[in-house]
Amino acid sequence: MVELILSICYGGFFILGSLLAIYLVTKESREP
Amino acid sequence: MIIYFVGILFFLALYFFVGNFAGTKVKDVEDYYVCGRNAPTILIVGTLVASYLSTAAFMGDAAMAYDGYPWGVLWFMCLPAVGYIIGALLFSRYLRRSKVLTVAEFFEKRFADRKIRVVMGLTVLVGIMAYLIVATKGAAVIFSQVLGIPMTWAYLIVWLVYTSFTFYGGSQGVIITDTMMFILFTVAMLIVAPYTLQHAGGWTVIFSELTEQFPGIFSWTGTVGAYAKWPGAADALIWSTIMGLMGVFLVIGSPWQCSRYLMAKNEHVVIRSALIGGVSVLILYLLITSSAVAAKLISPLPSDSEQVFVNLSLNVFPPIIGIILLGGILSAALSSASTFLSLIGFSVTSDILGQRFIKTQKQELKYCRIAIILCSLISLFICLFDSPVILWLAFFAGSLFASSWTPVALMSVWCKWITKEGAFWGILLGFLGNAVSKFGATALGWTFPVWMDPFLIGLVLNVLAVVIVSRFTSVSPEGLAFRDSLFVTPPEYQDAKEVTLTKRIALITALVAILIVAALLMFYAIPNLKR
Repeated sequence: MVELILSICYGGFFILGSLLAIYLVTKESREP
Repeated sequence: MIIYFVGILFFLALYFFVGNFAGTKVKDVEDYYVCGRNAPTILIVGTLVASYLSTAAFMGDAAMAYDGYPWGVLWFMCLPAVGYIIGALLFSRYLRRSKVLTVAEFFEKRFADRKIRVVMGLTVLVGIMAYLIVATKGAAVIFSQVLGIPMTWAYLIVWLVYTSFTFYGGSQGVIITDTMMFILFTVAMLIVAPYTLQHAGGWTVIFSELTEQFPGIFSWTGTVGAYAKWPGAADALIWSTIMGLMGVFLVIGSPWQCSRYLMAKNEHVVIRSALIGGVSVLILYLLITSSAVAAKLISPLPSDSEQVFVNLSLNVFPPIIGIILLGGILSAALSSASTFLSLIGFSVTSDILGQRFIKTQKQELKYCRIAIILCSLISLFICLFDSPVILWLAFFAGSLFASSWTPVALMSVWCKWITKEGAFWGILLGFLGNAVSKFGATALGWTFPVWMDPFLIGLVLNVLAVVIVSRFTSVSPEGLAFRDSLFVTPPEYQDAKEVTLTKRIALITALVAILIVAALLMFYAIPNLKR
């Protein structure tokens, strides 16, 4: 079970980071 | 052996000529220090990853996977991969926006204090010099082993190659050769991993045979029983988590990582490079770990687990693959060495000597080149006459920057209340807390529980010192004005084309990460659940 969580985390943290980048870049590009 | 000799000399000659040719483009200090602030994404990705990975990745980390802890290795590298993105979003794009020449200059401006820049310059000189020695040693050992030449000659050849193009080309030479080296070791691993897995009998055979011979090797605990290196089942995972956390702090704020972004063409290049660099690290470590583990089933076995890839190159692979892999490992060491040497030279000239001694750009270029030659000669001298004190310092020099620089770097952007005194004491106690406890552990026999790593001790002391000292001192208005200027978004940042490209790259790298998770679930996690 721990291996399952670790497998998801291995790429999962990075996916969250990418989504954060998309969110911030979108938000800042709309700022006046 | 002659074929390996010729192959490796070919790569060294290529770096020598390309690096020195790049030097012909240097016109002024900005070109020399920060590549004219005009580098595209591919060059920033190349220099980021090549500076971060050295022989430690292809020898030390490969050995840990080979010794039965592939999960430990994967775990401590997945954290820095996301650290690249966090660092770019929270610190490095503001660093790039400030248009400084060195990271220490950023802190001088942020705290309106020259003293803090000199102290940081000195930590670069001592800490990165130690790291430079390790990188030089790593490259020379491989060179000497593979080619069968005495260590003295190996040191001299390796030193000559990286010193020549760093001296002449500065960042222009370093960034181009770093990228070539990054491409070489990535291509090497893309060839080596499938070849090794196939040679060992395919993944299904590797998984079942190794699980039988080394119980726990593919589980989160790592190898247990007679071959275990850690006393408790959770120890390997705790240690890996702390190392991963340290990696996050290193990619965010260590001078050899965040300074790379100073060369970026714009802030979108900073974010894109972080995304591609992070996903490259995830892919590379998957390839390194799976190949190193599979090598346990391929004879002849290496006498020392750190030699797993050298052994495969010389005794298992066809010569052409062996040459590419050895060239890749050597490149990983050389790329780190050239980045370290350039940083030391820039720091001595710009941060430590500064404008009090240097009046013109021409003088600064001249002094910087002299500093690079002198520092590289000192490192060569120390390598040739093995100094135990320096080697001891080199052993943990990297972690010192994680506990001393990074917390202050992040707070300098995100906290208005941090004062120059708070920053100074934070950096100092973060450095000393880590160094003293590491010295106690290695030289005086102090014992710490696995969760109380010296890096964490330094980190906690750093944050406490910043918070407490800043409470009793006052913020400089000049420093605060500089911080406010960091939050003024430049108009080019909102360029629609640039925004679309950055978002597209974030999406593509996220999709690659999803594929990596799927592969891990299919080949690691589900077979483990079925057992």
